[in-house]
Amino acid sequence: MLFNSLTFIIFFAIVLILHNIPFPWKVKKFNLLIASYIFYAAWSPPFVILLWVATIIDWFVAQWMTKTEDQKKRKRILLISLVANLGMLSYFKYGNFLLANFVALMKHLGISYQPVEFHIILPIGISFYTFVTLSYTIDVYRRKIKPANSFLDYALLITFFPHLVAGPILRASQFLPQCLTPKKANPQQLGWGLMLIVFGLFDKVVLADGIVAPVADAIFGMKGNVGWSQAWLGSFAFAAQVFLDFNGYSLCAIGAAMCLGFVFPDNFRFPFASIGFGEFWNRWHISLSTWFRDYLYIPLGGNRKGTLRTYFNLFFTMLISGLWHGSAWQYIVWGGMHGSFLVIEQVARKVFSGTEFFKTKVAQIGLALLTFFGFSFSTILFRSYGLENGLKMYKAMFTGKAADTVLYSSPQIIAVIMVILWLLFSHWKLRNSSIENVLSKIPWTVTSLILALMILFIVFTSGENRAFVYFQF
Amino acid sequence: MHSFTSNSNDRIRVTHWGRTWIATVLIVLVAIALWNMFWISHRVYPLPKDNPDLWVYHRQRAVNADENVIVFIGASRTQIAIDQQTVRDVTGKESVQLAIAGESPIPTLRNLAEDDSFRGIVISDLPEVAVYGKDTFEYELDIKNSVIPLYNANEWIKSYKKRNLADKLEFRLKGFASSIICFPSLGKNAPDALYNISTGKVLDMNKFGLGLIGQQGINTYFDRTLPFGGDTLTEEELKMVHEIQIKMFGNQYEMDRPTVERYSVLIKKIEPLVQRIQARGGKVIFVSYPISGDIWELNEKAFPRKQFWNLFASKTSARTIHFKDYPQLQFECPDGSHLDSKDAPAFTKALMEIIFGNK
Repeated sequence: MLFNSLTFIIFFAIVLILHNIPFPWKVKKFNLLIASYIFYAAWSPPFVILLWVATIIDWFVAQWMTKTEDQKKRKRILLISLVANLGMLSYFKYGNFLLANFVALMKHLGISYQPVEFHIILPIGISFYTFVTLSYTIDVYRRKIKPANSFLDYALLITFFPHLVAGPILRASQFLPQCLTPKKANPQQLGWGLMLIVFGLFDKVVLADGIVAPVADAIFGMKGNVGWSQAWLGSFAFAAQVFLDFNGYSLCAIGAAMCLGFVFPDNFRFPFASIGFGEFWNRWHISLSTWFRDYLYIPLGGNRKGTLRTYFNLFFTMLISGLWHGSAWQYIVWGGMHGSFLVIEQVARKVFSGTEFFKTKVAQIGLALLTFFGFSFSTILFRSYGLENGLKMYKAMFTGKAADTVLYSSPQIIAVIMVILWLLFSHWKLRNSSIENVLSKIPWTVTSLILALMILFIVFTSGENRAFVYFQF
Repeated sequence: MHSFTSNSNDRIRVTHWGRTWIATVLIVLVAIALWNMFWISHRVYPLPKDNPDLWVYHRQRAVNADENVIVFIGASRTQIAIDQQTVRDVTGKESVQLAIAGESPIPTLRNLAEDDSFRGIVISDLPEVAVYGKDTFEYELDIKNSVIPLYNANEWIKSYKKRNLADKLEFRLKGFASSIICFPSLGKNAPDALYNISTGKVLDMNKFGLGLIGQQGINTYFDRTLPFGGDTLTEEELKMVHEIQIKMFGNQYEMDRPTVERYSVLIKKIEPLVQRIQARGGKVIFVSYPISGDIWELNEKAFPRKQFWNLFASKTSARTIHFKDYPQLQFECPDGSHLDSKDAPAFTKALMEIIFGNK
């Protein structure tokens, strides 16, 4: 079920009404759990079973772990969770990829191998809920949290519909305490939560799908030669699209949870104002980057084992992050590219640490723009139809050749450039602030007008319901 | 650091949320009413867009179809020329419109052939230009000079196969919503739409059924019949549409002149599909829909009937009906290529009587 659909509006209205009827808190949580399964089953009912399997395994693993103090035994129990979760993820997400590469390797070695053809459907949201369940068992293993006392609370943590299919990736420590006391949104939360949903839908439906996506689609889908200016425009347009799309989803998720009285962590903090990639990953898909930091980078040694090891840890973490995003070589190269950016940045910071110029505002704006360029450059791999297509785009960027055809109009280009410039400007201006600060300075009448304009644009531009980009992960 | 998304109570500003939201809803309702009034005052009547959802809904109606269901496939000529109420009145059979504007009928014919539950009657247009279709040959048609934003039949069929519970529900809700309120949308290309509105160009575009405001899609009725012709267009506008047709046909012929050999490939692709449907009790009938004036001449120049249609008729096991063989099927087309909507009932009645006889 998409947030940008009429089905969701009806579904959410029913959930809100049920949640505000004075049932006991346990009944309300049970309602939310059932609603979450319906939300997921609307896409494919059989895959709810997979969700149950993941939920049940980790529930028992965590309970079992608390029954022993033997560290070796605890480790073995944790291993069950890792194997089960990563096994399911590997099968559904990487099965085809691994098989195709195995066949290619055999062919390279001169061995003809033709496996039985089988089609694996990627269950929506598996990458997200697998990370939620994994973080739960790892945190219990590390004794950072105690296992949930209530299966209902724990199942809701994994399944709660606002975050289920595309995050933010919740941690048990953030969510389980909220289940202890009855939650109902107060008028401020409800008003602000609904506003966040409108903001999110505006980002997704109007700016991402209505303005930047058609241009990005036209450029990346071009059959003939892509010109250098089109290749660059395509990369900037897709960078803007993926931000607006995913930030839009996150805002809807956070807003929907807030309307029900729950608090979700932030997922984006004006990432296009980042000065360098270290900061970028603290502002972009925060719930994922902190997950990789806590459960991969730090266990690898983080920055505690010398300079070279730090560089390796950064690079390796980003490589795995690339693989998390998709089962294709282009995502792995994308991760490697970001790992390289981080390592280069670390080296540059050491070399230029005493240079005053880099502390000036001009230099900082320049570095922020450079970061945006770097990110946009990398998104080509994210969007391309395969590695080969990505390389074709990179080649086009630097050849200086004109395009064979132009598949979009001047108003479209102007609108895309305006959206990109607006994103850069607004992110920079709000870099150390928040949207709440801005809105708190304007009267409620103006807020109404802004909201109404956003809703009207959402209504007038809604056509086909394009799925969120991150649903494919 | 403050974040973009506020998520804790202490960061939410205290404001008059009640009156904020009431004012918002009022502004939205008034704006939608004004928007509708503006378009209606310019003779632009809101209709739903033809899209995969609508097609899939009607495709679903053809599941388990028997001899009491007639499925129409083809392109815009079929969607304009077939009046479905007339089909029901004349034949007593159910009518399902599955033609897709600008597309070859072959993907849909294949989809019906592969559906073993389907044993209904297929009436298919087979415009000779179908030889250009991607489905006939493994090459891409360069559409840069094409005026009509072509749909992709294969994508529509794929969306039918992939449809899940949420999709079905969403379609029902959208159908219900558009039965209560329907307004012209800015479509997928909002910047162009706004530009066109600001320059007044949109008011012309709207009347040609060519994607309307945002070039999002073609306006249709819920049964997928397309409105077209003199009731909605002025003479000058019809002239413009005619020029578009000439340009479109001309471009296609210049780009890749058709040959009988190529056409034979098309025939070979169609025949197994026809046999598969007919073998399980279904029926397939191919109809050449009326075209007139210089479009007919252009068509005859590129695809002389004797070499093309007659060849097809001699090779297929399906019944074939060419409009030129029946005086009652000959109509003047306002743009040369499509029937006027007001002639659709008469044409449909004549066609149904030819196929099924007078009842």
